[in-house]
Amino acid sequence: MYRIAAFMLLGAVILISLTGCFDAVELNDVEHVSIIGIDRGVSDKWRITFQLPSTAGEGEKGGMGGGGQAGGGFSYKTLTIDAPSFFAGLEMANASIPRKLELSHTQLLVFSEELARSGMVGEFIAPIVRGGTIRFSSNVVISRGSAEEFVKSFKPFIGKTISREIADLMEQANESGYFTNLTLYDLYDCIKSTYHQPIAILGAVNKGENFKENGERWGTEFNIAGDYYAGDIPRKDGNETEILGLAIFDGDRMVGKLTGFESRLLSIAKGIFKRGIFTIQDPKSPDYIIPVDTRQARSPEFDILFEGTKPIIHLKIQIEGDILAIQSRINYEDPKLQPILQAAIERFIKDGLDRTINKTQELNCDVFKFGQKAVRHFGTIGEWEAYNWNSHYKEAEITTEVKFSIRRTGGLVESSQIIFSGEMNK
Amino acid sequence: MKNMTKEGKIGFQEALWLLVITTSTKLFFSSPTMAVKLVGTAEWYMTLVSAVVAAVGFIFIYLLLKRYPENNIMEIYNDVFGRFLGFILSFLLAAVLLIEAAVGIREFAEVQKVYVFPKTPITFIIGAFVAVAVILSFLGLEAVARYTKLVAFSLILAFVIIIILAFQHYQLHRLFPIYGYGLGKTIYHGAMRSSAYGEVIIVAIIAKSLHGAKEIKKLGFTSLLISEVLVLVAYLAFLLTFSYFFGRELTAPMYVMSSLINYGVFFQRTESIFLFIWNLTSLISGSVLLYMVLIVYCHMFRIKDKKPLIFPFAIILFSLSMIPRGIMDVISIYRQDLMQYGWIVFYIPPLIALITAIIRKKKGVVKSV
Amino acid sequence: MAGIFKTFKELLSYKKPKEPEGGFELLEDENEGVEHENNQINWQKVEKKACSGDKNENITVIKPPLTVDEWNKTKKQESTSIQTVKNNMVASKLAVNIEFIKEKFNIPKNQDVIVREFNIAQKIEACLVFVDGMVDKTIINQFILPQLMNTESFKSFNGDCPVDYIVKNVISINQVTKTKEFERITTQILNGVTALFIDGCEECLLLESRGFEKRPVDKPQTETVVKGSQEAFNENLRTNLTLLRRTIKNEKLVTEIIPVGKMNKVNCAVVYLEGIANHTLIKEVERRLKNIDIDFIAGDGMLEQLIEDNSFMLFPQVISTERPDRTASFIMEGQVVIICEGTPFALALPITFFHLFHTSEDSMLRWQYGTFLRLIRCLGIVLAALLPGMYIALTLYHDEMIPTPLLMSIISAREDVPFPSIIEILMMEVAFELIREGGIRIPGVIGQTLGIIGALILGQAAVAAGHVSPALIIIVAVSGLGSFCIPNISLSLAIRIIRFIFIFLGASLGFYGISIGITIIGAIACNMKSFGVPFFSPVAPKTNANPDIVIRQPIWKQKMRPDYLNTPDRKRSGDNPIKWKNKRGEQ
Repeated sequence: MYRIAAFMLLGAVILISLTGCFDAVELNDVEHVSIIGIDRGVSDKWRITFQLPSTAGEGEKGGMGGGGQAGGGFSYKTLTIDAPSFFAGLEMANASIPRKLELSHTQLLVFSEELARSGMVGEFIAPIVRGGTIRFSSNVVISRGSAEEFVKSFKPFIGKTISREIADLMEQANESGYFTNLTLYDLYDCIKSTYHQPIAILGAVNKGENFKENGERWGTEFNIAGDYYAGDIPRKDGNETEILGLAIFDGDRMVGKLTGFESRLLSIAKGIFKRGIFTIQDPKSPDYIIPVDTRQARSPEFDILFEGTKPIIHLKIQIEGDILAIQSRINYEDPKLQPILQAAIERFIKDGLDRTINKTQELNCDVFKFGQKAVRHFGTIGEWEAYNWNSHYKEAEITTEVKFSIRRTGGLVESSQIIFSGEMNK
Repeated sequence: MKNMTKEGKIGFQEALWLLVITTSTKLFFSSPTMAVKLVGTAEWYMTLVSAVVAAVGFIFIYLLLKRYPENNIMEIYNDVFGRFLGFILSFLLAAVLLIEAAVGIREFAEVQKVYVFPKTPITFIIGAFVAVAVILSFLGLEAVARYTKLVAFSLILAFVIIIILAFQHYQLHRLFPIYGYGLGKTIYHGAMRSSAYGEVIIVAIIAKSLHGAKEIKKLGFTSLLISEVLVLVAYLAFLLTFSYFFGRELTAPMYVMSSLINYGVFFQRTESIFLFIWNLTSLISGSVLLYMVLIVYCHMFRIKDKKPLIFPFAIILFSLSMIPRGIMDVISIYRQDLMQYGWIVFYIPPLIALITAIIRKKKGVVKSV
Repeated sequence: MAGIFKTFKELLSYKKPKEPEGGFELLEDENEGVEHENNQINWQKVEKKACSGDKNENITVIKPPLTVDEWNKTKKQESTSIQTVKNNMVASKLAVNIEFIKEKFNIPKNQDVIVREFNIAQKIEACLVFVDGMVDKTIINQFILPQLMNTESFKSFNGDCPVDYIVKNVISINQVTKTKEFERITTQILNGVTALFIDGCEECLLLESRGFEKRPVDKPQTETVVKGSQEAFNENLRTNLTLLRRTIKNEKLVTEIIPVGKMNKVNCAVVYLEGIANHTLIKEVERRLKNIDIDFIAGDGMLEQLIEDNSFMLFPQVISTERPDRTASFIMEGQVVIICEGTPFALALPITFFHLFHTSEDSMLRWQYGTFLRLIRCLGIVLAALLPGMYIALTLYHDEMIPTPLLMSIISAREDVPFPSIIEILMMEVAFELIREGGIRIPGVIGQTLGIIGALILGQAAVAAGHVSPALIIIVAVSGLGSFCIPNISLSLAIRIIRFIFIFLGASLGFYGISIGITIIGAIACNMKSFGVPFFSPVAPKTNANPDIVIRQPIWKQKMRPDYLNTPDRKRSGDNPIKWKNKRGEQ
């Protein structure tokens, strides 16, 4: 008897299922938004841009080929809408988009700098985090122009699908260190954090303004590589969008920016720097440069002491690197000359680091995460919150120490001079 | 066919995993969130305090059971306190277990509705759950215990894998300041929340199916130890991933933690594994609690056959699960109250019974050699 | 020309119908449903024959008149004879016996049974009864009739009943039995044994003379292995038992033969090792076999369904195998084996789930290879049961769990498909099952090619037409391959059914539904008992096991018999199965 009852129960469940149950959503019945851009709107409070992959129109669907083609055949269209809130925007978009917008595969959130500086980022993120559909692992980018422009320009440049593009672009943080692969999780964590302040990736559309077509050729002035904000790199063509540098927030309001170079140093100080090439001036012949492929040798160490309420921090960084080129052909591989080069590199990095630290101190934003160690001096959460570390950051006395060691010199173990005829021989 | 009047004997390992899974299912829901709200960064060692208090409580239960070999706790209450008081105490125990099952089911359904099934009506989810509990109750304790042992190993393994994979987001600084909101508060809440391990009283309810007092002692302590280790590791992982200000906001922190795992294009979005662990453990836990309620109830009213009662109790369970208004009620009112006051029913009556039995010099009779 | 004209004329003119309307019909009559007793013996005829004593009514023989005493004696003999025959015992008067046999076997209507009357040593009347075709004619022609008809051997015989004398001195047949009951005699005659009735004897001799056509010992059809014996059972019981005896040369190997089935009396052999198999188990098996009340058992498949614990469970509770070496390993572990005439399979019981996915090859190979093969089979089972259900659950409910590039490729492939996912997957699953079923029916080479070509063309054409997405073909194909890995056919069919259950559950409630399915099926399977042994021993409940469940440890580590069988003798081997490793240089 009980078996009959059990089967009836099961049968009832199964019968209901065949009608295509409540939450069953076919993959083709929804539209997976890949990028969302948020601006301050004019006709309404928010201006939201959605980038939608679509298989309509372009791309031929032949008989045998159509079914077998995998992954390709997408064209990316955008929709911009002004709405009083994010979810209102989602729904109003469906007045013209036939399929329901689905946010579970959104990989990029773009805020405009204007919006960030008005302090509206937190206001926007609150509903997203609660909704649970946008994953915490999606990246957040602050764009210099309008987010709409950024989203419109972000099309697959090399690959076929935008998700690969975004993932690969964010991977470059590990390759060059010019920005950090920051996700919504990091942003939200830091917004609420009592330990430190948030940072976000800086992006922009590079319209090629800095790329001067005609003019005098460059002399021998030394420019620090990567010391630009996003969108300022002098280049032409290529992918229109550009990611470089970090934005600094106080709470949820953007207060400053770091260039690519400064972001690298920030990563080194935090211990998350993977590798990157620093280009320094040759100490013995300042017209030439020496690029060094740098890695972190050890995690940075810092000690925090408290003098009353003023923190005293001593930061010690240990990095190592390989020499990639010696333009002046001075034999720095010689053990007698190596310390000179090392000292030069250390000085260079220390200067940059100090510059970055001063910048953040002026803005009173602890993005270096010194607070993480400072908290160990406190017993309970009550004491820590009463102290309010974020407000004391600007008073902190921070001293830095950099140690650099040259590990390898590449394929050449000795540099020697180029031979000229006559007086050019040095 | 299965004879429902007598429970067969179940082995040590099966009973162990039954207890462990029933006890530790709670941690997948909002317990970490509420704990962080109360004690902040001291959450992970608060569970140690809870476990110690629960172990102390279990010692009383064990001593009581040792005094009355081959009797389960309802019979002991009847013997020590007389039939009327014993009836009331057993009823209290059954009521608390039933409420615990109902709250557990509702919490499970609510969290599923938030993250997985936004449009499905909640009656459907709860209905399916109760149907499974019914079928498992029909099959009997032996079958459920064996099945639990069969899947327990894979579930624990998958859980450990998730905890290890989430390593990339662990940051040690989130454990500091180390005393949370104060040591006193930690100990107080830890003691209160020892009812999280209160399911150890199931040992006393199924005492007749186990093989003697020695095994009961080993069973109780081992299950407490394993559940404690699981909960500790989970809370630690949770705290290392979400700082105390972030963690106290999340509905289902374990789920979010497993959704953060991201090792490249392919190794991401692995919360499907976690969903399976979650679903399977909750289904087992709910069914076992329903079955325990049935055992106690049938013993109270001296009913021999449980089968006709399963459907009515399923309907009662369903209705009880539908009582809370919404998820906040479930998390902050019902679950909290169960945690705060559950220990009164789990640990105090056995203690009183033990003292009374010693005073009145009552002992159990050994029926078989 | 004339023929056409004739046909035309016949078409137009009227002809009276010859046959009754409708042709032949099988209608009900008053005999239907009435249970006839087996013994519809015409006793009058028997009595008449007995009394007259005449075999041939046409020839009148003049006999001398009998005295009163002799008359009384013959009359008494006749009445006792008829009485004994009515009690199913052999009568001393031969004519009565013959008549009874003729009535029973429906001779002369039934031309298979031969009654050969002759004289022993030219003096005593006797008769041989046998079934033509079941006996080896050489034995009767050369070893029974000449020796019995020979007067030389009967020189030293004086007495009434020569049965014992014949058994001891005359007949050179290897197996001779004496019996009095007609029940047994008819059974044995039907089995191919020759019955010898002698006038004046109340016992009948059963002479072993079986010699019917049977298939020679062949290769196994369903359980092929690479490394292992290539002999399989065939339909003859004696051959099968011999194959077993060749593998287990132990004096304690017991084969009890129990006839099953009311109307066709199939012989079933219950084989076990005395002292290793549990007594209560053996008694239970015999009890179940003896209490089967059914008229026809076609083979071990039907037998399995009649003696199993629970017919409603999906999983089988006895295991059937075609190989004698595997059967021998079951017997050595302490299980009881039933071999039924008529099908080349043996049933072994009780079993656990883990028996269903071991093959004999695992034990023949080294432990690393055996473990590896088993792990692959485990993976096959999991894929076969769960993969389509998981795919449906993922795409319908949990699309956030699919990595984005994969998702985009599935979407672009599914754009052209007009059906919803669940219809798509059901279509492909049903098509695949049809191909499998069809491939079994079609004989020989065509069958295999049909399977491959059918699947290939069907899949390819479906994708090209845009009816199915390519991802789905892969899913269905992989899960089909997984189910091919399962060595036991009952388990593989059970898994195929479970796959459909999981598809429905996954389509209705996503991962929650699949978890519900796993819970219910798992709990029901754990509840199952096969002849008193829980189905998932030795994992749940935990019993002391051979280290041979999934990971197979080397043979010299498997020292004990399985605990759940409760065998009297637990140890398989001594403490050190490889003694030669410790003793160096010694013998």
